[in-house]
Amino acid sequence: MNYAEMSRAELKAEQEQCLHEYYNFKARGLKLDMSRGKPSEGQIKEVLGMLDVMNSKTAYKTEEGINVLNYGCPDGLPECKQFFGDILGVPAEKVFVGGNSSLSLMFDYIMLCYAKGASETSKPWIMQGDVKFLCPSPGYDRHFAICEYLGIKMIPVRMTETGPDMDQVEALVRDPLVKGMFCVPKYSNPTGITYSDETVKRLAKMETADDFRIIWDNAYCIHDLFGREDKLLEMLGECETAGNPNRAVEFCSTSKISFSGSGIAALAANAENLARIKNYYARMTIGYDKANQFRHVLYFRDLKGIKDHMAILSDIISPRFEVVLGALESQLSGLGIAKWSSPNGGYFISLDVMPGCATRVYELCKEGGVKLTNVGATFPYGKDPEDSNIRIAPTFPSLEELSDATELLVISVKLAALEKLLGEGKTQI
Amino acid sequence: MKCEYCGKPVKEGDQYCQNCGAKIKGASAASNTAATAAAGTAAPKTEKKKMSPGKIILIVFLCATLLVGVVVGGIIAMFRAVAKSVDFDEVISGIEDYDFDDFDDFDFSDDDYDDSIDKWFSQHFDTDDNDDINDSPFDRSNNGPSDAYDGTENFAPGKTDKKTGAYESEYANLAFQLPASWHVFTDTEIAKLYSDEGVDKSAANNKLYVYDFYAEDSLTGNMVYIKFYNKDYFSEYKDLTAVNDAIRDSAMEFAKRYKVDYAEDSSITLNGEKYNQLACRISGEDVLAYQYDFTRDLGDYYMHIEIFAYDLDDVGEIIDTLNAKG
Repeated sequence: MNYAEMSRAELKAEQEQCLHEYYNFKARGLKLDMSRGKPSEGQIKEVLGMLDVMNSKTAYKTEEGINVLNYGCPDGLPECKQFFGDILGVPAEKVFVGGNSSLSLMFDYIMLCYAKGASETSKPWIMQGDVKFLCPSPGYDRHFAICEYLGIKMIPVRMTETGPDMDQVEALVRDPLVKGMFCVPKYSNPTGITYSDETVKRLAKMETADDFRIIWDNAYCIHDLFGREDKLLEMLGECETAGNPNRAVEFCSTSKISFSGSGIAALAANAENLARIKNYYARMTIGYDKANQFRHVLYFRDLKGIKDHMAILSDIISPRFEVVLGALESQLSGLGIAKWSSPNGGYFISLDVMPGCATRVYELCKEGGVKLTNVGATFPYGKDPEDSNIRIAPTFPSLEELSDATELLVISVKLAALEKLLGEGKTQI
Repeated sequence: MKCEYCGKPVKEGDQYCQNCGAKIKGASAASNTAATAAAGTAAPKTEKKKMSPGKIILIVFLCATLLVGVVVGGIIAMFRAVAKSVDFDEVISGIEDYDFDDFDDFDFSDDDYDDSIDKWFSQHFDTDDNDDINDSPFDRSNNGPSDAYDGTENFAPGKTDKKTGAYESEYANLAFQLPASWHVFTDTEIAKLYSDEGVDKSAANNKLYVYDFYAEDSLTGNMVYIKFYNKDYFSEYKDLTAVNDAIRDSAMEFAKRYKVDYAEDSSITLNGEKYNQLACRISGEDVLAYQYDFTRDLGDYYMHIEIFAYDLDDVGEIIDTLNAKG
């Protein structure tokens, strides 16, 4: 029954029941963590074979005779560029292979634009005044942390079922001080939304400052679940078609495919942006870890190989999503106090509770033994204006732990809503 | 007019607050059109207002503060001292002309480069304590037994010409020279092999376990080596069959990931000497390679030649090369 339709007495009775369940749960003394999108042990075990593909007997030269253990190829092994090109659907010559973190590639790129300008003809962002970034929210907290660190003003943009609110985006980018925008276009973090074709085309086409750049963080480009796959238009091509070839730089990594701490990150960009990026990295490094690049290519071989591996990971991750989604559906559906995403891929489920209740849900879960992502982390400056969004990361805990954690989460969502509706303040727990 | 959400001023006609992104109440499609018209149809320009002298000073001050902050938090005191005296504009404009593509053409095998690396290492590390690098017990410049030499009088190492890579060994009855694309391992590189394999230093020094020749083709990744095992030292090798079994076991390491097919054991004659021949094919979706091992009994030693190649024709060419004496 919808809580809004309940009498005060019925709400009180419901609260009594929920408190009883809550205390029972708390008495179990569990310590569970659903705070960050970390791969589980099972996922990591599935890729341990990668550690065996290179040893002292391996021919450490590529087909072109490149010694992977020596200097050279600062923009990545040709085989690895091809590998990432296939994953992203772009030609290999548009790819730059970096270290293990796409976040550091993004940081470097923003720093390049900030300190040296986004193009040969544009001023560094730092010299243009109080520059701004558009931040579709809820979004990825580590994106926001980059802007906060550099003092770039962040403007939240509402997320819709088809991606960021494009009316809002198109209006805001008319300000020439808006220099960029973060996008996680497929299985967006944390909402799981994949940008529609129309959204991608509008992003590619909209009128912006010449040195406006989209940080196209395609982190979950092949992270499909349940045997389903969302389709996303290829952004670099769309930008070229729209006459804005420099607009987007695309990023991805194998952090949630191979080893989260020892994967490979890559970026893709058009020729002009790429030349600028290579020029920047030429000062910084003589090249990234080619042995790891080689190992990845030897192990996964090609797009089919890595997709086959993702199917194995899907078999591990999908049941975890099902546990959470099943509990939310069975326990919260129809109560009118929460809504949640049901993504076809990615790493997160986004839960929106009643406005003003997210912090309370976080507190209740913490007190009960379950750690959630900090409330507000999914918004710029850590402030959720509605105090409503909770990011659920179901990949790391075991199925049993997840089932327990979700049970507590559901009770906490109900309790927080009941406290609000009854208007009697926080219940002593 | 102010944003109802964050309180910052908003311009007439704006649909969304430029500070917090909130929709401005009362903003209509008409005002949107007006805003668009005001912005013009072309892409907004990044042209900036002229800055006041005060603002320029402030920015210069902030940049200087940032720079000093980076330097202080960054590297080391020496860098800091240098940074203060550097004209960064000049440095930056200088490196902007740097051609990234030149990097690919840089010859890292250049002697000067090697020398500079060695110099850097010697400045930064106490390499005297690093036996593997400086005090290699495998330095064959001595070309003979050390004081601890024990029971290997009958072994005579082959000689490799440092310039041409040509190998000659009366003991092994081999004399050949591989094509120019082949890199013949130096003494230091062979010492590294021993080290990687965990070979006891005295065993290597006393020629009980010997890589007499090791080379790789930089074009194909093909490899060939010549190895000797002292029979007393390798007492577990009762006969040549045991050696062959050990070689086969070692090759089966590949079987963890690839399909390994061994042909029936046979024999081959090189320069009039008869060897046992073990041949296998290593195949998988991403690799097809061949490993050929030739072994023979030299009395005090077992001799072992291994060829690893990615093409069967290459194996044939390498065998022809080894058989150069006919």
